[in-house]
Amino acid sequence: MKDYSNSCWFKIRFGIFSAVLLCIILILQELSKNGWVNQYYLHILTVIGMNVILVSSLNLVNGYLGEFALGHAGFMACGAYTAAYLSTQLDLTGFPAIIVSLGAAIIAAGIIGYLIGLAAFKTVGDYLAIITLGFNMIIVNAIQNIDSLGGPRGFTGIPKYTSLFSVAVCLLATYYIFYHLVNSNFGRLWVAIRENSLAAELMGININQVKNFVFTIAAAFAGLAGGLWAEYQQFITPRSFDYIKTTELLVMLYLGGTGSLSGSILGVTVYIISMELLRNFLSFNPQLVEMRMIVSPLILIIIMITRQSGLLGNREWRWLRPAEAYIPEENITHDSVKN
Amino acid sequence: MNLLHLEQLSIAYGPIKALHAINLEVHEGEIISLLGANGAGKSTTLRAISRLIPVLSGKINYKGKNLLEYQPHTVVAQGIAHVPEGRGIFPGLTVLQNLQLAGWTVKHKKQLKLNYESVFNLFPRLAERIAQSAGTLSGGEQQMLAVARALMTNCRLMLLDEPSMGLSPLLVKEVFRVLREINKRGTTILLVEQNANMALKIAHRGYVLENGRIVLCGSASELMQDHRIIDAYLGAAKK
Repeated sequence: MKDYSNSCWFKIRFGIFSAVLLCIILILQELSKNGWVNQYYLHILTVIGMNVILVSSLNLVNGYLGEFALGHAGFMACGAYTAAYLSTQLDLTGFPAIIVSLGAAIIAAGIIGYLIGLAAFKTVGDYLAIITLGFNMIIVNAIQNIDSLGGPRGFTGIPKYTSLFSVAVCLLATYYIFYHLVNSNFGRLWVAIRENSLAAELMGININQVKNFVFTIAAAFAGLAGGLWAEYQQFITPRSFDYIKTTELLVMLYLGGTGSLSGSILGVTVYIISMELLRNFLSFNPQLVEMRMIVSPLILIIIMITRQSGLLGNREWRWLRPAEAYIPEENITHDSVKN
Repeated sequence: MNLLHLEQLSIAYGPIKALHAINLEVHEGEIISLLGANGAGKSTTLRAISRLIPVLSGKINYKGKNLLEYQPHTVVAQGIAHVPEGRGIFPGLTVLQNLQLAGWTVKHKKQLKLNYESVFNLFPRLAERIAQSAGTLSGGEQQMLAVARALMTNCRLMLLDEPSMGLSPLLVKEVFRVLREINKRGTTILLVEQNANMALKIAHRGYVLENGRIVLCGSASELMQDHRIIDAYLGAAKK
């Protein structure tokens, strides 16, 4: 048996890429302190980074697993409020505070995700979408009614721990983990469940357990992004985590393409940059600026009509593709010509 | 030896009864054909054995265990593999990945290696196409892959639902040849078929289902001679 799953090459590639990226970001941050680089661009990059974590984690459930979950912003809220609460209450500063608050955000969102998954995966399809949407609303409304979390006024006074650098580190770690999950035998199980859940069950796989595991992982990483978000904005309100945020994530996901890690990067980047460009473009008239929100649903409609799988559905950029993918592709064309 | 025993098994989809207290026995090492027209309850029987649908009343005994206490994913670990109707392969995954997933429940590495060897021995075509995505295989190859996947789970009893569906006569012959070979290597087979002629040729015994009741059972050669079978399933050409 030839073993194709050689990840050594990926590790080297990924290591070099991360080192270069982090160096560039450190330089950019230094330059921006002197005003050589516009802070605004760094802000855009940070927002893109956080949203890529969110969208790629949503992609695990909606893309690879093929379920339609609608409550992703709820898990982001869990992470954001956990991180916000801990970073203001705990007697820690600097690096330990970041680790503790983000770690707690991941765990809190993961636990909530697991519990919701237990209930949600008793159903599939439309029902799952409605249940997860309901949980999103429950989470937001619950936070709104807890006074120690600021209630509807929002949570203020969160220390600013998140920088472009820490977002980049989290994003790289997320992608390292996701790449290995998705390209493992276990990750192919998710695709198997998507393509034929009955057959997957007949292979002796407890599909509900697998689904709930994926859902928990996705929720945990949404919690990480939420924690980063809270410590970046320094002010969060429950309203910013309602279904409108979830919808925005879905637009970015389907724009980039489901079932593709590269698609999540591309979708988020294209969406956020086009929104910002439109903001600048329309800024001559303040009333027109809000009109840009019409454009994003319009993009989604056009994508759904012309290219349902999104920009990069089920395909990967070469450097995010596992090494094995090079070999079979030539064989496929060769053999299918023969037949 | 009695491997599988259905006792007075009744199944209903809502208010509609699909199986009326059927009795069925499968002995170790046999090939059993379950024949019948569309909607007779053949697939329902298989789905009940692999616990995909709830049972109204009756018993399913497998190796002396009560299968009703198991769930679909735990039935597989007991050594029952179900090849569903329409093959149920994973088209987006490669042939190898399809097989790897099927071997998911096999804990021992050595056993897994043996399974791979016997599968590639039986299906040399699959070995050639190991890195090709399963969706690009021909219909016959997809059926072979579905059977191969069942073998990877280390099964003692294989439930096959219409393996000849949508295949050319030549490929049907090939599928049945392979099934006989698998049986010779020690796997018991419960086969659901519309193609009664082919199914009875390889089977040891057969059961005929009609409207959820077993109306006939006996050895394959007896059934081949039975005028009711000839009229209903084998056609006038056999007379």
